[in-house]
Amino acid sequence: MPDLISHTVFSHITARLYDRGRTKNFLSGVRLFFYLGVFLPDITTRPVYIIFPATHNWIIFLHTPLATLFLCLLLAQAVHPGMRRRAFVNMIAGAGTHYLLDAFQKQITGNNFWLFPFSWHNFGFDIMWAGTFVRLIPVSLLLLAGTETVIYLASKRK
Amino acid sequence: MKRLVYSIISTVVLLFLGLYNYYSHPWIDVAACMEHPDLYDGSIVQQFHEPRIGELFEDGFMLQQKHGPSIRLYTDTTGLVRGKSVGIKARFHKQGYLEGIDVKMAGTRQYKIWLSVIPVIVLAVLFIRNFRFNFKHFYIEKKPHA
Repeated sequence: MPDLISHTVFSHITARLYDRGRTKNFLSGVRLFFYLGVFLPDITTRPVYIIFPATHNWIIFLHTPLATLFLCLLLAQAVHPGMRRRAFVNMIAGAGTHYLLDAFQKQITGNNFWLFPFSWHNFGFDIMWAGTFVRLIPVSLLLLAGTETVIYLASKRK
Repeated sequence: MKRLVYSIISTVVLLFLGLYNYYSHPWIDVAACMEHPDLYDGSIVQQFHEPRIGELFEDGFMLQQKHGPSIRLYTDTTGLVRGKSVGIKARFHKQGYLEGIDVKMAGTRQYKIWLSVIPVIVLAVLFIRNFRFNFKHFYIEKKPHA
């Protein structure tokens, strides 16, 4: 998996481009569930099996799209009914961008079991090692700043 | 009612997926190989528990795991550094060693882990600033000013 800074930047830019600058304050309200969705596949698995390696085979399924879907559905039930549906959609969208970026990572052992529980086949494009994502963090942050600047200038022009 | 149904369905599905995950996963680890060396002779081992490079030799290194036994791994050691995390695909031999097929040192893994904590903390702060937990109805709701 790439680091969560790269995930955040990639997902944020994707969401901003999709949103086309319509939302002014992107880091508040129900939008925050989008970022929770971005982190969800990793924060429910990595810290657990890094600290307790023996749990790997019990919890790695949480890093699969189907499990994420049901986890988001479960989490959405703990949200106010007035924003439950939007929170759910935001979490799913965030998780979607997470899996998309994961697909670009080169790996030796599998990580992208998109068809679980029907198959353990590992999908992906094998383009960059996780370490490359870490080294590219300054570039990602520059891209983020550039995107935000363009959106800000475009909104001022309107 | 709908809320309860969705909660029960998702919990049950997640439990079943977890059980299916545990009993159907295709990975063999070093501990299983060491326990049944004849059975797993020639098998590909892809699952290691937080593997690190131990003592380095000319023709390989001692593979250490956070959980599970250490084992001798034969591979090209060019560029490898003791103590670093490593990604491995290897063939097990019943004599009690691994033959590296694909070995890649993950030199930035520690940085990756610690850098990943930053956005999680930021999101947690934003959540606390924007939402509060309503214990009466047991759900997260927006704070009045958010």
